[in-house]
This record gives sequence, C-alpha cells and structure tokens, in this order.
Amino acid sequence: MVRKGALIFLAILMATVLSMGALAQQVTTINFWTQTLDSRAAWQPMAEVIAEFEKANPDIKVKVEHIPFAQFDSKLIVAAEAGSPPDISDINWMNAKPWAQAGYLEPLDDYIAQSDVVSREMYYEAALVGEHDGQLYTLPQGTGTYMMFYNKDLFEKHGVAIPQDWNELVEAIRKLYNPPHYYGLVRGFGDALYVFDDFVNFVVQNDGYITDEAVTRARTDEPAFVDAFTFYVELVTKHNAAPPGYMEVASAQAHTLFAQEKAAMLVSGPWARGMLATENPDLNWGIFRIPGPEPGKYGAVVGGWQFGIWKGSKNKEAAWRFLEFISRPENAAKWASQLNLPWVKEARNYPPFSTDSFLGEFAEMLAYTRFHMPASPKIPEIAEAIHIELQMALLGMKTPKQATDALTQRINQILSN
Amino acid sequence: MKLHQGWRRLTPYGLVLPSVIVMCLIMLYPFVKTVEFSLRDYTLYSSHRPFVGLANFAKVMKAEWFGVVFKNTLAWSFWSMLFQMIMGLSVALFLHRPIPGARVVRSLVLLPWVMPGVVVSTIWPMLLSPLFGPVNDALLRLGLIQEPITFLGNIRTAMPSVISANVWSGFPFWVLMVTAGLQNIPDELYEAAAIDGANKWQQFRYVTLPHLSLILNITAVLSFIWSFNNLTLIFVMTKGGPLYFTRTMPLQIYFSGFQQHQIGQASALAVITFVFIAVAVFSYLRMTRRQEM
Repeated sequence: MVRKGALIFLAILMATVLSMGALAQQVTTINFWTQTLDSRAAWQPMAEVIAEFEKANPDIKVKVEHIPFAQFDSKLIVAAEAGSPPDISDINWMNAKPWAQAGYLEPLDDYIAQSDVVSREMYYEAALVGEHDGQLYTLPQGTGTYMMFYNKDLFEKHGVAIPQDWNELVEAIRKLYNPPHYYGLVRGFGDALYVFDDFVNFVVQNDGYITDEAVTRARTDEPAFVDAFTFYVELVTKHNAAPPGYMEVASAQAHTLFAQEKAAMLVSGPWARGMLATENPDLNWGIFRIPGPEPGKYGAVVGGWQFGIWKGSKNKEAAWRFLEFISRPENAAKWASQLNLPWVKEARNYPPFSTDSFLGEFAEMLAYTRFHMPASPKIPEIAEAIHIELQMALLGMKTPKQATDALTQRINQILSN
Repeated sequence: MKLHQGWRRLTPYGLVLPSVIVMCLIMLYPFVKTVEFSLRDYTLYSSHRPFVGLANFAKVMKAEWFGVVFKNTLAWSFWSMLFQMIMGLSVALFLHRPIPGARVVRSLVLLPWVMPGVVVSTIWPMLLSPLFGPVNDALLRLGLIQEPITFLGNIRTAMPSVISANVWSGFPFWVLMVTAGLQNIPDELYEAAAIDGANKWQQFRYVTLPHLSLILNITAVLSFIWSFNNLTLIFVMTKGGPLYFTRTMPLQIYFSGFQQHQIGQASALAVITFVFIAVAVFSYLRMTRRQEM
C-alpha cells in the first residue's frame, strides 16, 4: 500500500517536473545588445516597446544588455570572434557594410520577402547602408542630425540675433566672448569620431566632399573642403570661439560646458535634450539650424544606428519577429523618440514626431543632410587623419592649407592600402 | 615493486598537470593566437585572412606614428617608475620612524592604489581642468600664472600630467613593498653603524639600501611593466592626444584593433610589445643579479 502511494507520488512529481520543463522550453530568450544605457531617459520608450513585444509574443523573452558607447563595437567584435554574439544588436551605420562583408551578420532579404511589415521601400533609401552584394544585412533604426543649441538668456543679454550665415555666426561669437565666464561656441577635439561629425557638418554646408563616390580618391584639396576646414579652424584660432581646454574636451564634456553656461552655443543632436535636462533643468535654451556659408544654405551629417541579426545567433526566427515588431511605424516612432529620428518614413506621422515641435524641427532638418561619405571600412582611419590634421592647424603647427594638403595625401595613402 | 616506484615518481607530475593545462589554456592559447593573427592579413571586414608573413610588422614599423608611440611608451613607463620609486621610498622611510599616527597614515596612503583606474583618470582631469580645476585656480590665486593652463591639451604638459596621475596612483605600492623590506632590517645593524660613527645618510647608504635592493629591483620591474601595459589612465584622460603626444603602445593596439579594425596589425604591435618587455626585463634582472654577485 505504502509502495503504491509512493509510486503515485513519484508519477505526479515527474509529470509536474516534465510539464514545467516543457513550458520552460516554449519560451525562447533572445539577447539584445544596445548602446542606449538604461540610466538614460531615452531607454524608457524602448523598454516600453520591448514590454509590448513580450506581451504580444509570450513565447519570446528579450534579455537586454546595455553597453556604453565607447566599448560597444569592441565588445560586439570580441563576442562575434569568440562565437558568442548576441542574437540581435544595434549596429553603428559605419560598421553595417564592413561587418556584413566580414560575414558577421545574417542576410535579411529572405525574411523581408516573407514579411507583411518590413519592406525596403518603407525606409529612406539613403538609410539602407547595410547592403552588400545585393543583400541587405541591417535594417535602419534611426539617425541623429545636428542643429545649433543656444542659450537664450545669454543671447538676449548681449542682443544677439539668430545668425543666418557664417559671417553672422562669427559676429555672434565675438559678442558672446566673455572670458573667463563664458564663450561663444563650445568646441571639443578630444575624440576623433566626435570631431568627425562636428567638422563635417560645415563641409556638408559648403558642398565639400571627403572622397569621391567610389571611395578611391580624396577630395579634400578642393576649395569647398579647404574653405570649410579654414573656417572651422579659424572659429577657434582667430575668433576665440571656444572655452580654454577645447583640445581635451570630448562629446559629453561639451554638453556639460553648455549646460553649465560656459558656452552660449553647442552643436548637437536630439539626444542633447535629455542630457541638458539632467545636467541643468533650469537652462533656458533653444535650437536653430547651423548657419551655412550663405543665408538659407544649411547642412549637417546623418549617421545613427541600424539593427542587425548576428550570424552566430541560435534564435534567428525569434530575433526576426522582434525586429519586425520594432519596425512597425508606431513602434519605430516610439523607439526613436528620445534619441533619434526614425528612418521608417511613416513613423513621422506618429507621436511624438507628429506632436513634438523640437523633434519636428530636427525631422525637417533631415532635408538638408547627408552621410559624411559613402560607407567604407576606411572611415575610422580617415576620421583619425582628419582629427590629426585639424589639431595640427589648431595648434599652429600647420596653416589650414598645409593641413588640408597633408590630409589629402594621408587619405589617398589610406585608400591605396 | 618497480611499477610502484614508477607511479610514485609520476604522481607529482600528475598532480600539477591540471594546473599546467589550465595555465596553457589561459595564457598560452591567446598568446599563440596573437602571434598567428600577426602573421595574417586579418581585418574585420573580410573573412578571408591570408598568411602574409612579416608584412604586418613591416607596415606598423614604417607607420609615421611608430617611433613617436614607442618613445612615448618608454618615457611614460620610465618616468612613472622613477617618480613612483622616489615618492614611495621617501614616504615609506618617513613613516617607518616612530611617529604618532604612522599606522593610520600608512593605511591612508594606500588609498590611491586601491582606487580603480577609471576613478583616478576621471578625478585628475577634473583637478587639472582649465575651467573648473583647483590646480589652475590655486596657481592663478598665487599669481604664478596669468592664464589657466590646458594641462591635458597642451603638447608640452600633456605627458607630464598623465605621468603625475600615474605616479599618484602607483606610489603606494612602493610604500607597501619598501615598508615590508624595512621591517626585515635588524635594528642591531643600525646600532652597530651608529657606534662605528655612521651618520644618517651613511646608515641609509650602507645599511638600508643594500638590504632593500632586491625589493627595489622587483618593484621597479613590476612598476615598469604595469605602466608599460596601462591603457585605462591615458585612454580616459587624453585618448592619446593632443596629436600623438600621449599615445602609448597599448592605446595604439586598441586603436588599430578596435577602431580601425586592423586585427593583424594590432597583433603585430602586441607581439613587438611583448618581445620588447621580455628582453628589457630579462636584461635588467640579469644585470642587477650580476651586480649583486
């Protein structure tokens, strides 16, 4: 009798354990790596989209790993080389093509062909940078672009109007020069990639180019580039635009200097709003388009982030369902809302882009933008070469013309290797 | 009986075998892989990685930055080690005397050493900032300078500034080591020297220093290697700038490998660094051993 009871108990126990195991097996966990830190306000809407996805797909759980921007690329590469990449991750636009070429990423065209949600046509064409050998390896997520942030109180105090062109920008900087309290425009040369964005904005305004379309030849000796380079350098060397220490200032510190009213202007993107709110919620600031060489001639760079499914992923189907969900216009709008502008065209019709004037102004700016140069594995080396030659000119070791000549030589050498 | 003896002889080897295997996996495998990568055209843009012999070595050694970076690395490691030694030795000797509170001060002195590198490299730029830094503020108030100095952005002051941070962070280790050494010197030797008429300097020169020489040598080697391989401090403080003025080998390896994605060239640099350190340390130890003999 006792033995029979024990057997029944064992059978029930086993059935319970097995059914629990079966239930557990039904839930697939996908690993998603992002460079948006969960401490940032920008993460909140993204977390909401993920929660909505998990609710709509109870068989999939998204495990998120937040990695700081500075380590993001290297961690992904190390993980991929070690054979343990995430299932899906953010991909910096510069890496989309090279990483597709290196075989790290899963081609997405077969998934797209069977999808009711995702199509190539739903994105701005320029954003499809993850293409290699006719296959698409990444889906565009969002992009930042740049506008001028300004301190309204300081502008009012010195009677400065919104500058309309480079001459007026110089005039505004001159009026706002008030050392050691504050300076006209914060500059930062501590970080090659930050300088790459900041500087190329002016090149784009002046219709200059870094290389030709096929990325075989430098175009940095052309007058449009040389003039932009000279103007950018002279903002600091001749017009005292920047607070002292600009040579060591990196992106985050530039925002801090603006937030602490050490500079009256800052070139930045939509992400700055959250940073400024954290650092100085009382700051009275506004935005305007970065003035170009002539009135109405605006320009800025775009870049931003893509999504990619990693070839080493063991849960590609689940990762695709997640990617498909984020790509729905309403979700793409929400996902990008605090950090970027969505590359999904229809997302502009959804909140917050349809309702928030700050984001609306950035979205309008996209009409005047382009990528720094065509996607190429050589971009980091070229960015470093630009950084070095800009520093040479800023430190007075070369004239702007000598620096651009040397830069042309350097870039041609990089491209010939 | 013979079989039994054979087993007994093999047992010690069997016992250390697991550790040897683990050590090989942890240390030897990455090293061999690095050497292999250095001989291939290995970028992160192509899955095709052909064997190229010593081409990566030739390429990095011909690069315009190679000489500067190498010189920077030597200067950074040598001056860091030297000033850490001077500070560490001075503080240890001072605290070795019977002064009230010496134990507490000795513990407090260790603080910079136990602080994570990232914290040290965040604090120092704040101290040296031309806009908010107390160092510039003090110099201005004392009338020693008329305008704030951009310590980390100036080509003349950037390297001394990062070395200062490294000295501050590393000297407590010297204090620790030298203090341990001082405690092992018998008091009788000082008494005997005093009876023989030796003054304080002579006691230091002929009693303290010879007894500390082994510890000083080992600490010097460790300090040099740690500084040589240090990435965090310079990476956070200056990112190797301005221009190449504070760029050291580990930083260049990082830039080549993880920013420019040239894994073959980064591996070649790593191998060069390894060979240089191995030869330098080996020669130094041989030289000091010969002197001791």
